[in-house]
Amino acid sequence: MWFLAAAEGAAEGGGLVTFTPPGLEDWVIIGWTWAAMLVILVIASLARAAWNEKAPGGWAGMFEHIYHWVAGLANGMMGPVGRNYVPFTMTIFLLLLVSNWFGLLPGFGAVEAVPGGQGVTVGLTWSMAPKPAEKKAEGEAHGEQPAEAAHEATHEAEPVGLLESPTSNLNTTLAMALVAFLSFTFFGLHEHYRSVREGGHHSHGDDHGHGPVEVADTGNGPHDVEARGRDPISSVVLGFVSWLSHFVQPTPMLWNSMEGAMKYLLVPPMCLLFIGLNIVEELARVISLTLRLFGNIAGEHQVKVGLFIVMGVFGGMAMTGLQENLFMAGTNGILSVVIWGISVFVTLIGSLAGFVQAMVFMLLTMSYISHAVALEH
Amino acid sequence: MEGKIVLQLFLALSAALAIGLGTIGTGLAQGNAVAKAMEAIGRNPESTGRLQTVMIIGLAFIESLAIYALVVALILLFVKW
Repeated sequence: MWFLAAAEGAAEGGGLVTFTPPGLEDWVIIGWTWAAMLVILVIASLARAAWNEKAPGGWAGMFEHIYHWVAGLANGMMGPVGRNYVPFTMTIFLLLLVSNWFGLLPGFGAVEAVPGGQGVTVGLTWSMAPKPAEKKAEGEAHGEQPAEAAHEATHEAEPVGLLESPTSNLNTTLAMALVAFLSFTFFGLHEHYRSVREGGHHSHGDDHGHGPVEVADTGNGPHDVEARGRDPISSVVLGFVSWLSHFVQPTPMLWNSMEGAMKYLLVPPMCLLFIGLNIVEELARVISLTLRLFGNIAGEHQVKVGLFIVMGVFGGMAMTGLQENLFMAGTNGILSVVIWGISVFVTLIGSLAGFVQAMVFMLLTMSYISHAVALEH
Repeated sequence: MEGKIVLQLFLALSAALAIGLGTIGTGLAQGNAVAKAMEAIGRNPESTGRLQTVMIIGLAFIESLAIYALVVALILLFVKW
């Protein structure tokens, strides 16, 4: 199979994007994603069980509060049509929120195990600590380098993070960004299909929900072609063509706003330019969603783990120096406590950052869907 | 062997430079955006909710440029060159 051979070649050559078959670390990430889903399911079940006509319980009230907030945002951005897209965007928000907040629990990002080795190491992700094969390692920040000798000796000497937040891994964020991309593409396609099928009789200002395809009530009875709407197959094709035409989007406005012979000369090249620009923009949305979420969450967690390590280093120096030099040991101990205080503060800030990143992902998805669904007739 | 040391030197230097320079423009731009948003809220306090939402979206767009710089710095540090 050619792609496996290509994957081996790429893995041999090194480089940034390597397509290795899923190793242990990928299954760890998938497991933690399922754990996040389980947490949301448990909270939602509690909310459902606490719901009552007369006096809803606490869990139901909290969930309703979150729902009304998300629905308010959707209403503000898309109008009454936004109600259809609230379940999807709220799911994205809850999943990303729980995944981001997992990384703030104690130990996440800092506990590693070597597959096949004995036991678990804590806090040594940043490889200022010597690898077991190379005790004489020069203390560089890029610790994979000394382990290259260990690689040739035993291939499984590489430690795998055990407690990892899903969104601090590029795979999860890329998957969520691809889901968002597919969502706004297909919502756009569906909206164009729907408008072609109904023949444009409805203004979208008073849409309160998409039931089955609504056709005009022309009063001529059920066999009127206008009342039935266009047939599905041709409206699929025409809907696809109408969706494609949104890639040239600013151009009709330019065409209408220019007079004379100049517009025949200027507008067609700009048409091509805008097609390219819109396609690149839609692809850049995927990349920006991925990198924004990954960079914020992974960076935040690295800061937390780093502070944890520094606190441990100072605490270790304090405890080992208690016999010899009391003053230095006391100073190290005080520094350790101070850094513990800073790390608590950083963890709280990290919870805000996780919330903001989940909210921003949801808002951007809503904004892209609203651009895809807004038809200019 | 010496080339490896020079490479490590330049990698560390360029990673620090990448993230440092990347956040200058981002800081200025975000400060500008928040200042204008606060001014608009001061003029019209009842539109706070809508303004807050739009401001957060705008800040996310600006922030993503700094995140691109951070990702370049992470690539420079954590890939086996």
